Amino acid sequence: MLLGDVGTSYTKILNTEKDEYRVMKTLDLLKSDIRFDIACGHNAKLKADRVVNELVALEKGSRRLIGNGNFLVVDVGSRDIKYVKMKSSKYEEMDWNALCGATLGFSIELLENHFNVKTSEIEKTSQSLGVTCGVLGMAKIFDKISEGYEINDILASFVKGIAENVYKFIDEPEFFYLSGGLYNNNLFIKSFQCKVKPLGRFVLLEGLREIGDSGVR
Amino acid sequence: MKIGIVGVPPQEVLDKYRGNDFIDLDTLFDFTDNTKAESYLPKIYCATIKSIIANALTIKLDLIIFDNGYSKCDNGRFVSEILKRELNVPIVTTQNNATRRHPQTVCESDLELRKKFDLIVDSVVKDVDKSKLKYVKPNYGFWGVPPNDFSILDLFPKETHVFGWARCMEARVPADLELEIMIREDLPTVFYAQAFCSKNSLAKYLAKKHNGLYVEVDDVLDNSVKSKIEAYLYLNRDSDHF
Repeated sequence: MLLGDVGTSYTKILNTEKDEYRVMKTLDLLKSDIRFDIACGHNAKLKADRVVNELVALEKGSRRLIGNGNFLVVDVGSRDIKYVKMKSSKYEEMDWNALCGATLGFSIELLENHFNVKTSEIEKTSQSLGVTCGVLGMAKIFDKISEGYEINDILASFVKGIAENVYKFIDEPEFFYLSGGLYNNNLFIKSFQCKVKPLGRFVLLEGLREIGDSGVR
Repeated sequence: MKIGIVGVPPQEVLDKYRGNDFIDLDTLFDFTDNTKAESYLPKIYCATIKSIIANALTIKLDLIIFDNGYSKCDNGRFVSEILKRELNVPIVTTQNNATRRHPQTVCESDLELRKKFDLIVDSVVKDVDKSKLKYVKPNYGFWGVPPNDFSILDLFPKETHVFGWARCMEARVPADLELEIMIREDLPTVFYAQAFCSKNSLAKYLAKKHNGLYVEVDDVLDNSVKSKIEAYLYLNRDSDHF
């Protein structure tokens, strides 16, 4: 089976026969003739006949990786945050902030390219740039630059602001699992005031694999 | 006479005009152009209230019966005043304080959810035959007002019971707050409110208290809300109600 998590910026692909994962830019995917057996994500319907809801894929993938029981898993994407909380393997809570205030990974990548820095290599800060969304946050960044602040400090406080938004959105837990492309961004992870365990970038693909294996529709 | 109705006016007032052609102005008809309401209302405003104004401006009416008190919503009081001043149509304003709850057969019937709402809305102005309706054991609940965009209702299976103000409509007690906040414990329920409506406070509060899903929809249903509801229904499919 060829499975695809077709995100706004990047598409994560799993070939289950070869157990091979890869990532490509979604813009490149859209120009290609690749078709998936099962897919999820904002652009999935353009590339697959069978489309699975992203939150369902997140829940199934997390269960496959973590096991049954209690867990809170948060997927931070390019432009959205979604989470599922399970208690004794049963649904407890979920939400999906897909529009307002949600330009997350996309904003960080844009800033990294603009300033030619890797935020994951920057030291964390206790200062938070109060950001309600990526776009408004960026305006604040350029204001801070004009006030003479160090770029790295500003970026660290921007990332801290985003982490605080996520933390509030998921109701300030003591611990959560992190899914999505920011799983290996140390600055982002350390900017939370609770314990975070990264699950990697392919959690939704694991969910699709579970669905494919079980034949659940 | 062609009479526009807003909210759920008292039965005795409706009875007075029985036999006339009633039109529910809260409805988003195919011809309803909500931008027409922007002559009088802010651009960012409750879509249902916009539809009331747009319909009142479009349809040639002889009379409007506007239930505009706390049995409708806070916005209703202001909007009825705007219509009074701007339209050359007589307006009867009412406050429906009825307390006798009629049976809520449609809310608990085995009809598709959209059909349930069609009947609930119809039941305000005409007699609806409920004798053939069958009770359905619920797997989900839908709490709220009739949405501006009924397509949200198509996401639910027919095993969905109706709660909130829509239930009050069928019970003909639109000011009955106790019935409005009544929900069935442990029944996975979506708490719906129209964007910019003060009922959002209740929807959010009740959803949090009962592990439900709170959704706020503006004009028409967008993909993110649709996906959220689909996921919520799916993740709750293994509940004890199955």
